[in-house]
Amino acid sequence: MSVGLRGAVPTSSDTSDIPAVSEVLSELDDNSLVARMVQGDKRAYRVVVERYYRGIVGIARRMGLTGGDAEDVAQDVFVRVWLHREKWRADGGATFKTWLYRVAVNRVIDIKRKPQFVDGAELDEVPDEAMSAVDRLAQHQEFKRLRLAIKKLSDQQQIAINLFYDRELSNQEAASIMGVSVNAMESLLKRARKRLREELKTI
Amino acid sequence: MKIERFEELLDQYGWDLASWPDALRREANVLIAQDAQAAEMLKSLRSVEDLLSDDPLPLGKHKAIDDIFAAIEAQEAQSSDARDNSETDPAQSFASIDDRPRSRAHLSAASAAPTGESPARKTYPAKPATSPVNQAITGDGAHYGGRAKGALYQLGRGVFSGVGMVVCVLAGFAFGVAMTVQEGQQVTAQADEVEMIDLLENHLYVIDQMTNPDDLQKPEMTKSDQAQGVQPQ
Repeated sequence: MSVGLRGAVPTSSDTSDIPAVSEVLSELDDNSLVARMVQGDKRAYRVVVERYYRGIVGIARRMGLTGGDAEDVAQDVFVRVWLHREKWRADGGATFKTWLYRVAVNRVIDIKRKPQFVDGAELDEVPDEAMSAVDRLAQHQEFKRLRLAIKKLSDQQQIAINLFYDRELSNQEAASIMGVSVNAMESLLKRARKRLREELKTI
Repeated sequence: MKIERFEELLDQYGWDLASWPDALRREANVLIAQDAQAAEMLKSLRSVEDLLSDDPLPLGKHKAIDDIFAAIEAQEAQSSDARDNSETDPAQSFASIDDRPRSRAHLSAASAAPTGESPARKTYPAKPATSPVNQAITGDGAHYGGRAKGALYQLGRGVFSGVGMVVCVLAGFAFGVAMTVQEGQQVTAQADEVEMIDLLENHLYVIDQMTNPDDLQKPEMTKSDQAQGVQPQ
């Protein structure tokens, strides 16, 4: 695998000219960054983390974790990925992004299966400061209703809905994270939407 | 298009009509324009979709990312320490699986009896004592190798081993000769003793015949005759 700007970019031990290096690294694609990461380049890995941190926290929150738990999951995922970076295989059929999301989804599922897990649907919500108090309250009520309805879905349907509506992911990527074909993903989504629509009518 | 078909298409293609096939989208728009229930349903589901796709994460991620790298550094330091300990302390691997109770663990170092695991154990000092004459020679001599490197040592080792072997062979030979001679002398002495006994007995028989003539009618067998199988007459 190509290592991109290996000759042009200083090693991680070189502390001079850090902003310029980060700028160059941030323009690299995932494959080049991950190749450097596998060889132990923490600066390249920092760019990867900055690129996907929001997405990982977002998917953890959509799957029902509170803000603190979602950030803990993101931290845990990124630390694990770094410590086991040599296990990454570029020719394994998945992109690094889908692999990272799959690790995160599995981690969230593990946490939600623990007996002491407290669902964040009733506890956590990110208020939009630009909205009025009335609108915020209305959105809060709507958000709670939606989370309650999603909780009624099966695990697979919940994951499918959450991945599909993640702006960071395409349909192909969402299907790859779930380990199913695009057709199977669409079929799953169809059932999930129907069920969600019916649940929203009753809540 | 009927409302049931509209719901089915919503489930199939999503709640955003922009993602629908053109022909179906046109039919749906006609339905929405004519049916208030369909319009309300679509509006409600679009708001749900907006909630689902809303990015819930506020800005301010850099502190969290710094925390991630601090956690990575801590994990690496921890695993590095564990690796160093396993390399420098050969007893560590056993200690990790040795779950025997340490009932004296709560005692202070001053009050606790030595467990044998302390480096201050007195029976086997960690540092060997040195010779008062030559500081290079340790007390037990096990660590001193200077003598073994000398020519005199090499010569003496060869010579003394050959002489020792010859001495052992000669001593064995002399011992064997001595034992053989001693055994021969014992056999000769026994033969002389038997001959003397026979002579003495014959002599006593003759004296007895001379002193008791009646016994001439009933001669008794001597021990030597019995030994030779002679029948009495």
